[in-house]
Amino acid sequence: MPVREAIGIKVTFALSKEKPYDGGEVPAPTTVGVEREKAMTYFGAQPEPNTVFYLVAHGQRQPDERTVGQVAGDADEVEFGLRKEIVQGG
Amino acid sequence: MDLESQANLEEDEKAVEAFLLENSGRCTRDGSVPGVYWLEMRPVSEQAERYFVRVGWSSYPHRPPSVKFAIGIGGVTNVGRAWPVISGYGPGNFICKPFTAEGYAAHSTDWPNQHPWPTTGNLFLYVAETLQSDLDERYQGRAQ
Repeated sequence: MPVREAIGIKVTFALSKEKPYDGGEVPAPTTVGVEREKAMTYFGAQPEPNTVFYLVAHGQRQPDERTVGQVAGDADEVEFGLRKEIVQGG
Repeated sequence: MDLESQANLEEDEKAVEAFLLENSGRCTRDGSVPGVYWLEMRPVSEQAERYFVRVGWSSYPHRPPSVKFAIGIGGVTNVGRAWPVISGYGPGNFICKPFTAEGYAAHSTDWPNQHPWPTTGNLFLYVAETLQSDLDERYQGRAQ
């Protein structure tokens, strides 16, 4: 099976009225964390105390250190969801 | 619920329906109470389980919704076994997390400043995504 060198990236974010972030094609070894930060910048999402941002794909949280190639598997592109989570309960 | 809130909800509910379908769930608008929806949801780790969540909006998207687990669509919410065991969730009672009206009411002196309710974007989808994340990542079984 051929190894994909570039993966198309899209990111949606519920807490924004912006269109989904279109990251174009990025090298497969690019980490999820790099794409998360780009998407946060696009959506204007700022880091806050007691809050974490992460990406999900295929219904699962994707660790920052994973590569987009690993997330994509056999696919040419990946659609991520950006999630904001407040890490404080009552 | 005012007409503007109803119109905003109708626009945003489509994305919620699509999201829940992707996660083996369902979204049903209550036939008699405006602003009330019933979500059928499953934890990814236990696909045979089904939970029913009553989400009641009073003003959309300006205020957080009441979020409670019920015995079924249209059912009561005060039965412990209808609820999952998740940190911050009080089975049969309320969810003490900053995406519910009940949580903000319990923390009325601190959360509005620490965690102001967002009003931009699809807040209904944000609540559904938060519930699904809790079910997928923090689920400890069904409450007794």
